[in-house]
Amino acid sequence: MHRRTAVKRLSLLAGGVLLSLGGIKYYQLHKVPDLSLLDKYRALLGDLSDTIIPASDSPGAKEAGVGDFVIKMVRDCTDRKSQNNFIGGLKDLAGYAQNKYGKSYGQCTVEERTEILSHFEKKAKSFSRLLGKVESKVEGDPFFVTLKNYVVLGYCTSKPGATQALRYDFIPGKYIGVVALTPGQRAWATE
Amino acid sequence: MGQTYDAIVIGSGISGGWAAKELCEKGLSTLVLERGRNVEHVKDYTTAFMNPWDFEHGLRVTEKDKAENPIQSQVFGYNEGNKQFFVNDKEHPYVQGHGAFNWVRGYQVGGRSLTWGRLCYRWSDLDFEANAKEGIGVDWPIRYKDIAPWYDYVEKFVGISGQPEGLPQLPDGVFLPPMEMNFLEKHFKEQIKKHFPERCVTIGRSANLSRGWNGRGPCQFRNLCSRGCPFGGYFSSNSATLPVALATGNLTLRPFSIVAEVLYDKDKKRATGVRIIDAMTHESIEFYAKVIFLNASTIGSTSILLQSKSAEFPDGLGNTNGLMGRFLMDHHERVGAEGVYHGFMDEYYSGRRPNTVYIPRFRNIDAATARTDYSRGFGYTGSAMRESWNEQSAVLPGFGPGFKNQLTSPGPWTIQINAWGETLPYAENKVSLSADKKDRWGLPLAEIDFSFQSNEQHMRKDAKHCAAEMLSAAGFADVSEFDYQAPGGASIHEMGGMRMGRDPKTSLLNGNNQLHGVKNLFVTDGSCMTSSACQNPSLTYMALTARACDYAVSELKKGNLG
Repeated sequence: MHRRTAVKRLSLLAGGVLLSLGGIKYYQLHKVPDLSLLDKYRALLGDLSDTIIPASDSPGAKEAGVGDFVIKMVRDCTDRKSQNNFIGGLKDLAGYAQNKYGKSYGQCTVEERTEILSHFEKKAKSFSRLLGKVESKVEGDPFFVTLKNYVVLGYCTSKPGATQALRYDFIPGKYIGVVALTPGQRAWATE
Repeated sequence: MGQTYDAIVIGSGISGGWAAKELCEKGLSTLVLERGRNVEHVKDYTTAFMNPWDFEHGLRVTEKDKAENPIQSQVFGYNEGNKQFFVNDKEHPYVQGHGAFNWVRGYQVGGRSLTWGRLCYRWSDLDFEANAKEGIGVDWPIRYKDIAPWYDYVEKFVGISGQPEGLPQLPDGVFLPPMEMNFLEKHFKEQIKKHFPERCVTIGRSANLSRGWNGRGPCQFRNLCSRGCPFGGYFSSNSATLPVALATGNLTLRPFSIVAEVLYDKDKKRATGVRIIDAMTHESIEFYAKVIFLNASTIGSTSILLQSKSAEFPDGLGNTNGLMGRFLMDHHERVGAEGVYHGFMDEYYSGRRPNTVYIPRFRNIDAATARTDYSRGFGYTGSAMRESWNEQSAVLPGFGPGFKNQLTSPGPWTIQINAWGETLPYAENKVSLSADKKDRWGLPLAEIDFSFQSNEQHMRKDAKHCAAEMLSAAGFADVSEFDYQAPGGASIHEMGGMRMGRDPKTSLLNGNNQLHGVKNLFVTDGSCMTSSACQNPSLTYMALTARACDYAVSELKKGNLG
C-alpha cells in the first residue's frame, strides 16, 4: 500500500470521540451478523458490482468475479458494525427494487439499476455528512461505501481488472521518472 | 567440544548479520543464535512472485489478524504479502507501562532486515556533538572521523544508490547511481531551490541496488521489498552478509535459540558464553566463546542483559549504575503536509521506485537556522505520484462507465512530505523487566515506558508548518497539513537503553561498544545509541558493528579479551 493511503486511513482511526447510541440502534450495530445471508445475495452482489464497474473494452466486475470477492471481504475484513450495515443494506436494496419496480434487481434494466444504486449512494452521503468521519467509524461504514470500496479493490486487484482495465507490469526491471502519457493510456495497476 | 566457538553473535538482523560476516571473515569460528525460524534467501520468500489476484483479500488485513496482532498489523504496509515476517503479538507479548509503545518485531533469521525501509543516511558531527554542546544526556564517545571510514566500508558492501549533495549535516557516502525523480518531484526540487536556497530536495539514499553489486541485484523496481527479494535487489542479512559469512566455513547458524542469559566469570571479569532455551524443545543449552556480540535489537539486547543476573550484577550484567534500559528513543514522524498539483497531466512514469525523495535537516544547523522553541531537527521523506484507483476510489463520486474510465486513468498529481524528527533521550523512557509476567519460555516480559515530550511537540509544529510552506511556494493547491500522533515505536527506529559514553558511571558501553567492565561483550545494535539524530539509523548500526568487530579481533589477537 502506498504510504499516503495508509496515512489517510490512519486519520480515520485517530480520535477517541464516542457517541452514545440509543439501545435499539446499539443492538443493531453490535449484534452478531448472520453472515450466511451473504450467500443468498451472491447473484445480487455480482449484478451490483457490474453496475459499479460495467464491461467496456475491458471486462466488467461481474466477469472478474468481484461479487464473490465482496462476500469474502465482508466476512473477513470488515468490522461488525459495517457488516450489519452491509447486510441490512442488501435487504433494503432488494426490497427497494421490488417495491419500486416490482422485480428483482437482476431483472431490472440498466437505467433502473442505476436509479436504485444512486438512491443508496445518496443515503450513504447524507449519512456521512450528518456524522462526519470520526463518528462514521463509530456507526460503521454505510452499505454503499463498503460495497463500492470492495468492488473497486476486488476489480483492480483481479487479473482482468489489473491487466486489461489497468496496466500491470509484474517485473518492470527499471524506473523511468519522466514518461509522456499517450492518449487513452491506462493507469498502473500497482504502486 | 561442539559447544565452544571463538565468537557468539546473538541475533541475525541487520547488525547481527554484519557481526557474523566480519568475525567469520576474520577467521573466527562464529555461532549465530537466532530466536526465530530460519529464512533462506529466495527459497523462503514464499509470496515474492505472487500477483495481487493471488491473495485472498486483495492484500488487506483481516479482522482476525487485526485482533490477534494489534501492534504488528498497525505497521505501514503490513499486509498479506509480508506478515509472515512479523511476530504474532499473541505469542510474543510485552508490557506497555507508562505511555503506549508499539514494539514491532521480526523473529526470524534476518530479523527486520527483511522488511526494513532501506534508507541509509550518514550522521555528522552536528549529531555526534549535539549532546555535549547542549548539555543533554551524555556526550558521544566518538566523532564523525571515528566512524566515517566505517561508513565507507559498509556502504561499499551494502550498495546504496544516492546523489552526493555536499551537505555538512548529511555527509555524502559511497553511492551507486541515484534513482530518478519523477516529473513533479523534479519540479518540486527546482521550486524549493528557488524559494528556499538553504533547503535541498534530493533522491533518497537507499540500499536498493541501482546496478548489480557484489553478486546481488539489480533492483527490478517491483516495490515488493518487504516480501523478500528473489533478485537480491536490496540489502538484508539473508541476501548479503549471512551468505558471505557462510562461505567462509566459519559460520554456525542456530535458529530457534532464545538467549536466556549471558554467562559471566567473576574472576576473569569476562562473559564466558550464553545459556539458550531451544524455542521448540524448551531445552536449556550453554554455548561458550571468547567474544560475544549482542545484536538482538534495542529492546531484545537490553532485556537479555537485564536477565543476566549474578551475585556481582544483581540488576543485570554490566548494570552497575542502574541506567540499563533507560534513555530509550524512537523517531517521531507522521507529521507534514500534502497537496495537489494542477498540471503536468501529460506526464507519467514507469516502474515502481522503492524509494522516496528526501529533504535533509535544515533547522538548528547553524546560528542562522537556530530555533528558540526546540533543539535538534528533522528531515522529510516524500514522494509525488499520480493518484491511482487506490487513492481515487474513496473520492471519485458515482459509479458506472464514466466512473470506471476515471478510476482506471492516471489521476491528479499529488505530493506528500512526512517529517522524521529527532527525539531527545529521557531517563523515564525505558525498558525494564516485568516483575511477574513471563513468556512461554519462562523469561520475564519486557516492560516499556515511553512518551514524547515538549521538544518533540514543538518540533512537530514547525515541521508541519515548513512542509505546508514549501508545498505552497512550489505551486501546490489544496495544501493540507497533517499531524497524526503515533505511539513510540511506531517509527520502528527504537534505539538507546545501553548508551555509549565516556564514563562508566553514566553510560553502559564505551567508544568501542564494549560493555564497561566486561570487555569481551560488545553491543552494537540500536541499544548502543546515545542520541537519536533524525536520520534513519540502520546504516550507523552497521558501521558501528563493523568497527567494533575490527577492534574486537585486534584486541583478541593481543590477548586483551581473554
